[in-house]
Amino acid sequence: MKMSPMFLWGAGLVALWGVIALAAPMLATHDPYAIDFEALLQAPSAQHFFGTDNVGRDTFSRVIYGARLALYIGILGVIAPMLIGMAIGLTAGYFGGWVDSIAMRVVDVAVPFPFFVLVLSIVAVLGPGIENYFIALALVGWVGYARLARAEAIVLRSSEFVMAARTMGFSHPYILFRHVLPNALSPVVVYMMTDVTLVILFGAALGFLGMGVAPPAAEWGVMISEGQIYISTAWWISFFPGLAMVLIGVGFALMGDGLAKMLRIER
Amino acid sequence: MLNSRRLACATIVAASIASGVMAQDVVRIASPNKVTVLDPIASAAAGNIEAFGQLYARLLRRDTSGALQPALAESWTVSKDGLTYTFELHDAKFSDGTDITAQDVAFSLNRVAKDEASSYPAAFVPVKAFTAIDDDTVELTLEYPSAPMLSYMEIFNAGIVSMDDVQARGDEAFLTTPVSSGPFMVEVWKPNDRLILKANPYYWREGYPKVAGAELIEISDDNTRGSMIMAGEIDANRGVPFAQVDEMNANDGVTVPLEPSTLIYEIMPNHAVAPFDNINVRKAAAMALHREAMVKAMTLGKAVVANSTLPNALTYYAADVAAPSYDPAAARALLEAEGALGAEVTLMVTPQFEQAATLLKAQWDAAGFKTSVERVDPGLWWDRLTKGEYQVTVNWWYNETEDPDLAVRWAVCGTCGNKSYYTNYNNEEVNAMVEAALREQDDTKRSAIYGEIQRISTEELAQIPLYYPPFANAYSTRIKGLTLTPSLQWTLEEAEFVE
Repeated sequence: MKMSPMFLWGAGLVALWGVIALAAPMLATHDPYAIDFEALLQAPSAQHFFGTDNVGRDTFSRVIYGARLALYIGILGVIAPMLIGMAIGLTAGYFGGWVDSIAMRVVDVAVPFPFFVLVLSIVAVLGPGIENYFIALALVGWVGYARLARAEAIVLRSSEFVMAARTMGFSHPYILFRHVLPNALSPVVVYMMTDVTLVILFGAALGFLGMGVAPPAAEWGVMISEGQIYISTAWWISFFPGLAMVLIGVGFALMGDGLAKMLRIER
Repeated sequence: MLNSRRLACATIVAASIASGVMAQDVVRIASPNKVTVLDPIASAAAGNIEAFGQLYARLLRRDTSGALQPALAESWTVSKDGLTYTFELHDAKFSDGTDITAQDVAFSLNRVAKDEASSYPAAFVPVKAFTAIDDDTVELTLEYPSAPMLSYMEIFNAGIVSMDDVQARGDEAFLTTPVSSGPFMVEVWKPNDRLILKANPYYWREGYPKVAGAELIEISDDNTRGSMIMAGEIDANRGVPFAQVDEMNANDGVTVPLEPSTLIYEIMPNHAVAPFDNINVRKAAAMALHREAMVKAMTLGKAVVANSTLPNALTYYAADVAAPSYDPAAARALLEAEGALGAEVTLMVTPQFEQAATLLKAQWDAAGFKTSVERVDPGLWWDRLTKGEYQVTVNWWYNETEDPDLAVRWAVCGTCGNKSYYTNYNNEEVNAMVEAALREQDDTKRSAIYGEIQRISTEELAQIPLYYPPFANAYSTRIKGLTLTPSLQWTLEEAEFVE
């Protein structure tokens, strides 16, 4: 398999963010939570690379620590939807019949509903916080995975090796796990890459709206929100976390697209 | 939009040439504060207070220097014992053309004082009754003397409504277009959007208002209002974040004069629950805070650090009292001595106080508290506050008048109905002094009593004072004479457009 340059760039960016997140304590120049009354709203300088915010915290260090939260949210946020979606999609596609009908009607109902509105409403009901965001994602995010997995499973169930396995008397669960799942995985993984970006973005949007990670956490959405009224006088408070979000998003998106190309998946 | 406005403008100019009126245009004010009711007794929320003044004239008014002047009442006399006030009314009409009589005045003011629906009757507690002696004379009798009573004839809920209309229409009277006695009347009210006012042609003050109308527009986002005034879409922006004052001032066509207010921002500990029921823990909480630096961070140096439990704009304000000053080591020692080191406290804040929460948590934790921040929306905040379901919170209040009577009743009196702004601070000595000061007619003696109230309540940290901010409102330079008074009233009737 030939490596796509797009994939390499994306993977490089994502890996870079991974390193930044892991090495945050070493890279940060200041304590991201330490307020400093002597250094309010300072512009970027050698002392504070990205300036300081309205309580004198170092924006650079906060952006660095923010990478931890972003990756944590992005990666953890897609796991539950993926597992649920795969389980439902594969079962529906593999067995067909009434199982398929029920699962797909649920999907049909969920798909046209604006994803973010749904997540927002669920978080509004459950209360602000990142745990509730994960719950909301698990409740609505599985739909995309389910459709993909189902499509793959439908193709695979009539494939020769699955037929062969059936005739040899293997059980359904065994075939699903051993033969269908591994072959259905690649489009799902590609989809997951873009999903990570969305989950990070929505997580930050929730933080911005005061419904996600709670301040004073060094979370990018929270930081952008904190800098909101200073946007024309101290732009750096919101700008740098915004830039970080773009760079992490581009990383995952390139990785996903590159992967799709390599696996020759039409999307 | 622009075209229709120009057209309206042209029509009004034509009309004003014809009638000789000075009115030229409509003043548009954008505010985050909502207008939710039009009945002057029904609410004491800022958005409503700001609208009431435009719709309902009062017996007295304040001029631009803050002095009391005759309004609907032409003159008045006060009996020697301070128990009877007699007001002679001006000839004046409601917006429907009917006369404003003594019966209307007595009806309106008795509603504020005695009606169950009256949301803020505190000023009128000493009132026995308002009685119409004849069509032009109203007599006010009191149960006991109240030194500031005359000034209460000017506050936001003492506006005069039409008795006939309210009795005829009942609750409906205030739902859409109430009969108005003030400079403006309702043209259209669109709740959650805007209140459109037009000049009341029967307003008692001849030649006022000078503009044809006004719009009170609700826009909650600071940045949206900011860009609207810069673009000239509105004439006034209520509430400019301190962070944007300088930038907006630098803009041609917009000014942000910092106007005097009776506002105070403060930390409110709940005296009824641990750990802030302990005065030493409250002291530690105050000493843990570098309040000067906090105020600088929160207001960018645009506000004065508060030293007393009362606003500095009030008469008899005590400049010489002081809350404990910054000493985190002493704060920790105090907590240790009280066995409260590591005391868990939950700070309840509304979104507006996010920055304050960050600052408080950092400093309290450094001094040995364990602070967690609980974020609630303003509605829930009020609910929890009034039920006493909180440990500590941050908020502000303002006083309707410069007289401190209502202020002490609001903030430090445990027996005046709202339990010291729901902090449950209750000092019997202070409570007694609050009542004594109201009845005291001698200025020097009143001053001494209010000084003592402030000394005790500040020493005991009824609340931890933070700062006294000015109002920061932005005005278009197209308009002059428009300000927000310390009593939260727009001087819209004085406003006019400059060419």
